[in-house]
Amino acid sequence: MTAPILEMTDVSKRFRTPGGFGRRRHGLLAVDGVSLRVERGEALGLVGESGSGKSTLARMANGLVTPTAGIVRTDGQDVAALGRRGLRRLRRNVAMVFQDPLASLNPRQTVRQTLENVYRAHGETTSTAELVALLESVGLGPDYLGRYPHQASGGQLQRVAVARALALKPDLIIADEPTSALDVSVRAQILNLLADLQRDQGISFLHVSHDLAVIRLYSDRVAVMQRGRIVETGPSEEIFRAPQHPCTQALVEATPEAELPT
Amino acid sequence: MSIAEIQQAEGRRTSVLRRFLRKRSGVAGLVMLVVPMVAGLCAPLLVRLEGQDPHTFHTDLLDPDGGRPLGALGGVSAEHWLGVAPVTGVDLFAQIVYGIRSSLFIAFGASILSIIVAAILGTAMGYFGGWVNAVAGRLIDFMFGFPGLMFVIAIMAIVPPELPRGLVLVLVLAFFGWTVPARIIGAQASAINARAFVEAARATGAPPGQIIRREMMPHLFGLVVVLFAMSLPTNVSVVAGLSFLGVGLRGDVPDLGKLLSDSLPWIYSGADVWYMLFPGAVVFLIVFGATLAGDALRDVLDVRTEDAA
Repeated sequence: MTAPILEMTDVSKRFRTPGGFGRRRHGLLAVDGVSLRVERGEALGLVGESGSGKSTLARMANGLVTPTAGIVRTDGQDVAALGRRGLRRLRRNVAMVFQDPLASLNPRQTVRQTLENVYRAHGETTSTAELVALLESVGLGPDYLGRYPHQASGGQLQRVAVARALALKPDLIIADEPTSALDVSVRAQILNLLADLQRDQGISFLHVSHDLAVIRLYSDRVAVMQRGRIVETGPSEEIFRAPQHPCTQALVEATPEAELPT
Repeated sequence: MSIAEIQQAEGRRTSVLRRFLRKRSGVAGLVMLVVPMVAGLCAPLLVRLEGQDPHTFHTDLLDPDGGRPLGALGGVSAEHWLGVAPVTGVDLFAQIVYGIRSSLFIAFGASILSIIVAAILGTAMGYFGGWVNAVAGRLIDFMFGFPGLMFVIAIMAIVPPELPRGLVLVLVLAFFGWTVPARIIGAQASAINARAFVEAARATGAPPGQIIRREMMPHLFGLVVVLFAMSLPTNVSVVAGLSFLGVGLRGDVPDLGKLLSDSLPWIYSGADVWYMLFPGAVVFLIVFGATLAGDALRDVLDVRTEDAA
């Protein structure tokens, strides 16, 4: 059996808070001894209230955040042991989609430039035909290539961000609240797009969200985080039907049935 | 849509130059800056055309009582296009075009050099943060605490005569000129470094060089242009001030600042109000033109205002 695409063992992250003369540095323990794994082809949902450390945890998978303790193995490699080059190779395999596409896309770059820069980062070039095919795979027409971010809507931009993540054919995509900055009407479209990618291309997902309703429909398993710790894990339906931990119960209760995307 | 059509549609974006030329204030500013510069560059040619040189005394054109130039507008005539200076009667047009040469090119050199240093250091401070930012920040603090002008005066006073004074001026002014722009660029760069699209680029595996060049520098370019435009008139006046103190350009090298400070007593006493007019107008043109052109260029480079304009 192959190694899981992502395996975290007992990882912690303490952020240093600005100290000063005579003041003690306390630090903020954002992630506190967390272990989790994402199997190949699986979508793991990471839910928790804001400030629970889920985004920090997700960013350890591709080395954007270095853990203070514990081991992160992505694609079988110890992320902490990778050099600069190794880290770049890893990021080829592990792509990321961010919360607000208007912020995560450079306002001075056209869609073409944004996508070309992904290939350039790994010393590759690409053709217009390839870029058109890439946009098509996220449901956008070729006319988007020449557009700047301010010339497209939030939903369209998030599709561009997904295209950027797909450009190098990754094995794992970290989606950090990919729909929370979008209109309710386009959320389901983006989530369906991600679900299709998982099903059709076998891409694994680490899907971070504070919305359990989203996670329930689009993840195979769920991990619930509270104050830097994982308090409950299990298959999505089970967690939703019979939540064990009070935090999970609160999240389930806070999910309005009427707003469930279908 | 065929691939050719797609590429054609993208090419419709108007070039920076064309958009700049559409801005009237920018073009006016550029003209105001370029005309004196060209005049300075072609100084020997222009002066030969006028049939004068910057150093010959024309005492016959002066009022023997008080040394004022005879005639209207400070002695403007077909021979002396901008009149002559009081006391010596040297040709003002020749003095001014040669003066532009020395003043403007020293100011330009110092501004370019200091802004380049500031841009490189500021970007590094913003991108790397941490100890790079701390060390460079303390160095800037140290430079702030330094009495820069005193130091410049001291250095210029002891420069060995065999060194080219103009070049030394450029280096000394640049040495004290990079700190403020570096701090401003550094603050802006670290703000950009914290934005999500830089993190997104990092997440794609982009190397530092690519992130700095493709993601950060386009956002800093406008600021660098504006800082350059602000530094240019400052350096023009500092060069003038050093000449006034006698530690700038030496001897009989014409210089706009020297002309301005020479003309001051004549303005105060009202004896020859025309002496300052033409050198003053040239300095005004350069400073105002640099500001207008800098503003227009910043507007043009800001892609997001493209639709609103």
